[in-house]
Amino acid sequence: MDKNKPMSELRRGVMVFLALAILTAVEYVIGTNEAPTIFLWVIAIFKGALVLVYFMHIARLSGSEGGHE
Amino acid sequence: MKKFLSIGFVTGIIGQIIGTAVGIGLLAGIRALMGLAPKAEPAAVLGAALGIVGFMIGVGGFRDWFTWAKGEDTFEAEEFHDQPGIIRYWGYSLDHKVIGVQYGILSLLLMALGGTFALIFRAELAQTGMQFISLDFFNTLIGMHGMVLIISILLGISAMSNYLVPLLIGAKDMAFPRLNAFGFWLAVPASIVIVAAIFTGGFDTGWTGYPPLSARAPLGMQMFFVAVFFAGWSSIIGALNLIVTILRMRAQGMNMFRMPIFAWAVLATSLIALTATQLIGTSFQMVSFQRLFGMGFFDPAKGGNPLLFQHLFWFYSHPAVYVFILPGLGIISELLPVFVRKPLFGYKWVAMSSLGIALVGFMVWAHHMFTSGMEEYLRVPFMYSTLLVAVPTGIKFFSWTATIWQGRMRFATPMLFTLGAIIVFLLGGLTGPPLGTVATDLHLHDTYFVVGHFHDTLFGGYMFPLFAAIYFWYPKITGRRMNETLGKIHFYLMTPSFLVMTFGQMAVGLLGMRRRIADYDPAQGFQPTNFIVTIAAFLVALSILIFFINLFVSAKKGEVAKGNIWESRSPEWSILPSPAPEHNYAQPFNVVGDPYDYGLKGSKFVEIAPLQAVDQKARGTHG
Amino acid sequence: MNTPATTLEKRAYKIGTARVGLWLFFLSDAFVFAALLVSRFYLLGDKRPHLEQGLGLIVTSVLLISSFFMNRAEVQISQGNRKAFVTSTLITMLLGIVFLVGVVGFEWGLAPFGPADGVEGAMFYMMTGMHAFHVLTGVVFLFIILRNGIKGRYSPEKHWAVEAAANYWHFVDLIWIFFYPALYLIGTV
Repeated sequence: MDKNKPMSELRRGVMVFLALAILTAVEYVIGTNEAPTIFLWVIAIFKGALVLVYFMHIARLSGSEGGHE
Repeated sequence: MKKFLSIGFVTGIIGQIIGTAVGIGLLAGIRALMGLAPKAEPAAVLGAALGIVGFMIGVGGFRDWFTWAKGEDTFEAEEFHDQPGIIRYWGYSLDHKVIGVQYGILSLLLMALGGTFALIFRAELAQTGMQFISLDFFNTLIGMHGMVLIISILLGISAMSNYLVPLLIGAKDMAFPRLNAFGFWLAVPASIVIVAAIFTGGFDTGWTGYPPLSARAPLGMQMFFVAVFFAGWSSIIGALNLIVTILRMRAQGMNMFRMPIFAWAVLATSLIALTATQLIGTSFQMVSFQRLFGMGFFDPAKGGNPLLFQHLFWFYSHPAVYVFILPGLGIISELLPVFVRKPLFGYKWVAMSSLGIALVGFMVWAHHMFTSGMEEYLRVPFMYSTLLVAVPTGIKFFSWTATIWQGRMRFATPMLFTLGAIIVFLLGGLTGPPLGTVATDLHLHDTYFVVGHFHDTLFGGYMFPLFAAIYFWYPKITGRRMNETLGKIHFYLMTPSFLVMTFGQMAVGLLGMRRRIADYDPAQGFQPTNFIVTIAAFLVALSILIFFINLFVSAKKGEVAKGNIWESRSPEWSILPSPAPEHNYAQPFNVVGDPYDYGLKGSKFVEIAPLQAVDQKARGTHG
Repeated sequence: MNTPATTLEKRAYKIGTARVGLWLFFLSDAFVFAALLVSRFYLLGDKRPHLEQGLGLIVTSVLLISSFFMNRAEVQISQGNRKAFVTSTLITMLLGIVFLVGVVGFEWGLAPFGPADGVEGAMFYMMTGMHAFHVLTGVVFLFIILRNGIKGRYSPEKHWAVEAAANYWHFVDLIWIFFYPALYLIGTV
């Protein structure tokens, strides 16, 4: 975590949220119209990866540091 | 009286009684308010579940976590001190060695109980016709024999790994001592609930609890589900703790490939227990909900499919077999070099084979379902994946024989049990392929051949190594050795009787005798063999009785163990006195060599760390 | 031996250990939901239960927005903005409760089937029920960190409880990311 740029973390949260929101909207459109379900799976996996990486900070597992003690 | 009421076990029991009463009362009250007649089953289920929660509150399992939730700090687990003496085994201790012994006591108690169930129905099977017990009670007994012993085995594994892993890897305690205690105590009320199944009508499905039969079995079925659900959580919590301990708490210089093999085996086992156990919990919960709320998962009339249960169930219950045997196989690899005074052959391969068995174990579950009517195209892939298990298992056998090769063997009791384990497990392994191959399984499925095979694998993979481990590490707990003569009587009585028992079971199985039947036609010619099997089973029980006597008598009267009695290189023998002190190693040690280099001149495994390295310890030791 | 630097290091290592434990719990718990997901496709195949599409989209959005505020709360406390942390946590918790009301209060009431009506009903109530149970425990954890946050017990250096609760909340959101399409979108009615 970079403490020199205090806004960057918050801004990244907004960006990830927007990506998730757009993907959810796409999902809804695909799901309510007749489109191949494979797209739904791909989007779900992509959304899950976004949450894992940016919200849950899976990378913190490998380092013993992680923003705070 | 006041002192009696401050014992953790007693307050736990009181909590369980109150919790059960609250659960039953709550549901009866709600139904009364809604103007409905009281219904036994939902009340019993809620009562059993809340009873277990009540026990955990009573024993003090939530106390520290509640303090944390209030935002206050508690003492560090390293500052925890037990009451001295035997009383500490009855309370909520945070010491991994005390918890290990607690696990062991509960496991041995359940082992005696489950074994007794077997003796009762074996007596019934010695002759055709029904002599002693009713058909329903027979069915309950076979299911109870299975599940009580499965829980006993899970607890026995936890006993060994809880006691040994921190000692072997040089940790002061487990990674999460409070969670560790919680995991153990969860198993106590769960054991009480599963025994309660006998008194609430029993159940007639056997230990597998397949629907549709389990969806309409008596009330005891629900007790069985609740008990297994919570015992499963106990197992998951223990596994989680062990993985973290092994990954994060190793001594300075102990990289993954200098870890004792037992730690590898526990790591592999825990990975299975951590993940797959959730599926038996979920599947049992689904049957339970089908009974309670009419949710038709497995009810074909509502569009459900009973086969789904078998998939979910075996996705745990097959890997579970590897949970049962892997620690035992680790014990064999751990003890063999000590008693043949030679390095363990192919250390890395043995370490990896444990993980290999665990991973392949996840892909073989449907070999239990060859005759179930599942999709036919699944049969052959599952047959091949099943036979693949023989490869990593074969590596272990190869390593053991190569280790024994030209060694200087010493036949102390632990060594006898280790050798017995290898032979019996080999028999269990060899009788596996006929069951994993579709063509032969169609004949052998659900016969006594399966019973014989399974008892061979579990005695070879769990019981024999467990006895070896107890004879070997007993002095670390009590400071006294177990009696060698009684130990040898135990071994020489149990091994031949056990072999006769399983050979007999396999013989009647090949002739087509179904497992789980209470009676058979005298014209089928099973009777003489069944009679011999029963006699052999009683002899096995007698030998285990001798073991129990030895266990109790040696605690007071055994020969005092001084120093490194087995001349082991492992730190708990080469550094620590017997019995092992609280918080293990007063001073951390460095690992400077490989663990099993017996007989190599000048080789060293551990040495006490110089004082300034103490600070380094806290930083952990990845490498 | 117990200089401040070493105790700090010790605690950092301990939190790293706790983090591994937390993730192993997620892995374990994920198997429950995976089992339910597999059961849904095994039993229902490409049929999906008849559900209120608009409501599904609303509760999904609510949970998504709550995850956004959860992330914000964690960032704020790591930068020492206690007030902003408390506000974000409170919003997250309230959105969590809205989600629960939406699923258990409305969706369960509006669904044209009960749990005992066929396998669609069984699967739907089991999946949403199991997820709602996790949301409920998440709300409890949020309440705990909210209360301790108001009392000022967290700092940029010391907020492991916040990280754990936040990660749990994101985990629950992650489950819904897969459950939402499985229940509402995939297959035909």
